[in-house]
Amino acid sequence: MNWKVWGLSKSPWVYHVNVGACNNCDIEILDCLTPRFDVERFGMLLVPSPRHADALLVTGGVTRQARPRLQEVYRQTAKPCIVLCVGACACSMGIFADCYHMAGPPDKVIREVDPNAIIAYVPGCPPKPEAIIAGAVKGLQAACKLLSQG
Amino acid sequence: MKRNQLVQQVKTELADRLADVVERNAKRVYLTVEPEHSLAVNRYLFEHGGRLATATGVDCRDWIEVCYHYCFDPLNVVITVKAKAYKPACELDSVATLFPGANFIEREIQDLLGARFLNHPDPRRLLLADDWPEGVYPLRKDYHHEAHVNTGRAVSPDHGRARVLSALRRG
Repeated sequence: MNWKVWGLSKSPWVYHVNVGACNNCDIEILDCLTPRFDVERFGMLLVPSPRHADALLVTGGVTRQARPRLQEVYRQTAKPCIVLCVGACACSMGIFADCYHMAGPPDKVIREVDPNAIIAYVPGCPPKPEAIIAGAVKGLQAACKLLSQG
Repeated sequence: MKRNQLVQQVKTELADRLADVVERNAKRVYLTVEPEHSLAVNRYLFEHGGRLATATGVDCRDWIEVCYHYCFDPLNVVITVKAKAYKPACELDSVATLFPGANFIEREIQDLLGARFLNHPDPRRLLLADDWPEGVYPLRKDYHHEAHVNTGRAVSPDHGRARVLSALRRG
């Protein structure tokens, strides 16, 4: 395991991108930070810049307007990074599939920039904070395994 | 003033400007107007205590119907002005010149249905993405998702209705 992967495996700093969510997933993400769940005890921290982030937390299906912006944010995120798609829309567009203003799910949009992006999915509408934390843990474990192999 | 008094007054004083008056029930009245009378009727309702709650738009094949909904709160009645903007120009006088609150909702109708609001103070695009093609209006009946936007995903023209119906028939 090289030092970059080792750095990713603990206390991931998270940048939150809303690319077209209804705000419900965003509220659940904020719930993760409240004293009841308190993800900061694991060193998970919301950071204000993708340059400081180890993980991108994407909520919502990507709108046409947000597509180039999400791609730019992904480019700016320090690599290696992991993308966490939170919510039904971010996983599979949910009820917004085939809407006129939608560009596609975040995984598709990010893979246009980086085909090897590591993407984890947390389904639910909205997912519970427990599910988001479990998804983050599983995603990080899988990512570290994947990166240390390759 | 009573509710029916107001409706009577509107009907008599605007008689030559209204194409049609429908009183769906005591609380809900619809006035259909041709585009040239739209501004005058809107101004009349506003000056007689109406509050523009919102505006909505419908694609009615030969025209875009822009509905301005006026609440008369003390009387508990909503009067809707249905202004017709005939295709292909779809032009209508903007009421944003009367009340700034109509500014954004008219821009939204312009984006999504393609009605043009004459003398609008700020007719820029509001909701659609910057790279959205000109002259394509997503809430028009003749809008076809595949034809206008490349989604890379096949959508049948009837959005799968035929498939569902045949499955239902098969039982």
